[in-house]
Amino acid sequence: MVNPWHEGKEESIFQVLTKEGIVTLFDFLRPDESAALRKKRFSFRKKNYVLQGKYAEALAQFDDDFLRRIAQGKMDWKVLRFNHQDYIVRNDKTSFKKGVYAIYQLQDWDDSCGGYVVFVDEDGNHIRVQSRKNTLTIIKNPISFYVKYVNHLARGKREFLLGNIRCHL
Amino acid sequence: MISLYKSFRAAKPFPYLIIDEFLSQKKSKELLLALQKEKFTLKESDLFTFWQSSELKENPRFLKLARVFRSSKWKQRIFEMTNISISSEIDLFGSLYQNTNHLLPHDDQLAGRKIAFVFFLNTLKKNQGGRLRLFQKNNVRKKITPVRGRLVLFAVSSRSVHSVEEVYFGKRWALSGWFHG
Repeated sequence: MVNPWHEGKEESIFQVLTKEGIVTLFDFLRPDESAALRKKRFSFRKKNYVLQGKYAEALAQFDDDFLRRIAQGKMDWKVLRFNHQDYIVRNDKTSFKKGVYAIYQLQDWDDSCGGYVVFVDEDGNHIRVQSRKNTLTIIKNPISFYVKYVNHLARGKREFLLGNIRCHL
Repeated sequence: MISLYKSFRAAKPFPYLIIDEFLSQKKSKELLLALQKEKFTLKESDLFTFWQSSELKENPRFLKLARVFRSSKWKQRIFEMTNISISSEIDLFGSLYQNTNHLLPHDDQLAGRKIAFVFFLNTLKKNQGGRLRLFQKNNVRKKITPVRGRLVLFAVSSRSVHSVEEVYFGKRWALSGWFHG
């Protein structure tokens, strides 16, 4: 599943995540695995809560031993879909689950169309996630996140996988 | 004034008023030209992307308008129209929305804010976007198109969920702020 050049590096990736709080792995999956995942169909459910967000989500399977060794457990995954005018706002009032988060990019995406993902860390820093196809970003203990409003420049749907595990590195 | 009060109270999804020709076209245009001389800063967050001026209530170019909004006569008029008492404290700033700029739904609630206002300085066509949208639960109940000289007032509460629709082309110039209580 994972691109061969990432294999065997779980320990060093884990160390970077622990120290830096974020790790970005480009070309994460083998090209055939990445293409197969993009073709997969999901059963989306729409979410429309104007003060929190407007988008669609579906449960997804995206877990293997490689990720378990980095996240120190099994992550829960879902795929999020955003059309024009969709978004998720940062909402500190909701109980944002602490733990390790991961974003896997199913497509290349132009951030000028909105739809980019931002995590906020404990120091208040806003960390924008790479919007490049087949990139996995893992982030430790963010306090919240948001997905920027998708504007009218967007052509097509914006989709990515969001993983989470409740643990503390 | 009684009809305005009735209109305000009966408005759905929450109390608001639209006052067209609040200022003459000439005066509105003068304010637009004055605003275009101000420096604007890009404001960007999870909730919005738009350009905003600095606070204008003490700015010489907008002092006349600020004085009107802080006058006893205006406070009395607001009370007659809304049955809400306001003080002389106001916030006043300029906003500019351009291509893709937007403001997502929120309620404006912050200590002291009683009435929010938007004074439109130019007119947009429907297909340009930029409409002020008022929400009931998760649905848009009212869309207010920017028209030069139009003043929109609404009571700030947990119900006053509103947004600025994305601008698709052109520019949306307005003076906005709050009357405090």
